[in-house]
Amino acid sequence: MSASFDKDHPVESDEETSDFDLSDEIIKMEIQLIILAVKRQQGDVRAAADEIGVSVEYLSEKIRKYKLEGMLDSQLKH
Amino acid sequence: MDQTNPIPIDDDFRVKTLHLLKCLDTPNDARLDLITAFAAREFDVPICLIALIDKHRQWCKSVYGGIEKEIPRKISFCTHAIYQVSSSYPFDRVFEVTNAEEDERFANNPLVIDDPNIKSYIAFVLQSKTGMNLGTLCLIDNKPRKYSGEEIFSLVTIGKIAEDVINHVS
Repeated sequence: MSASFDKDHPVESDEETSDFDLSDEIIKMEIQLIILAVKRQQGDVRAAADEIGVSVEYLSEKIRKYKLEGMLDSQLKH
Repeated sequence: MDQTNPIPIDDDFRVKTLHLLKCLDTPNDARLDLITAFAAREFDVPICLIALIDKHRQWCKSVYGGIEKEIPRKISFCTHAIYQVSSSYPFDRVFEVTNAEEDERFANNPLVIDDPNIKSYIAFVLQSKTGMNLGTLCLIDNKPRKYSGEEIFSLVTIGKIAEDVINHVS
């Protein structure tokens, strides 16, 4: 999702979904998926990007945005 | 095998798993309706579904756009998606049809020939906690389309959220 999506297109919620914040859920899930993909490639960001079909710049930017370098250990290879 | 209706070899067990979720024929879930509305807007498509594949039918837990909530399984695109996917790795669970009119599996499908005139289709396959394919979160467009890697990353993200909701709905 584009970095500006939340700002430009806020996700509406109502009383039924008040405890379900889709923007937060998206962030949490993106983090889970990035960690899964990079760990599967033993920290090789380029290999992870290739495998999931995104550019290495895109994936690296997500890792920086969510400050995941620490969670991905010192194995991280760009 | 009937090419219009591929059936996974473990389909009976898959259907049993789906029935155990007690999600079929239940009222709308506001979280899932929010997800399909969001996805339709995010990907600029007229139709987004959260579809579950029962023994003989496709039943939608959430529908955004103009398509029937329930259709026969034999004309369902999503049944092809659950047939193709055999991995639990999220990024291996995407099934895409870029131009249905040029795809022999779908060219004569009534959903392609008539309303809603499906031309492109992409799905993330939703699985149970035990790894059985239950259905899909899918995007349907009435023009041919090839999704980018970044768009597919977003689809997998949204699909995994929908999957978590489905697996807790009962």
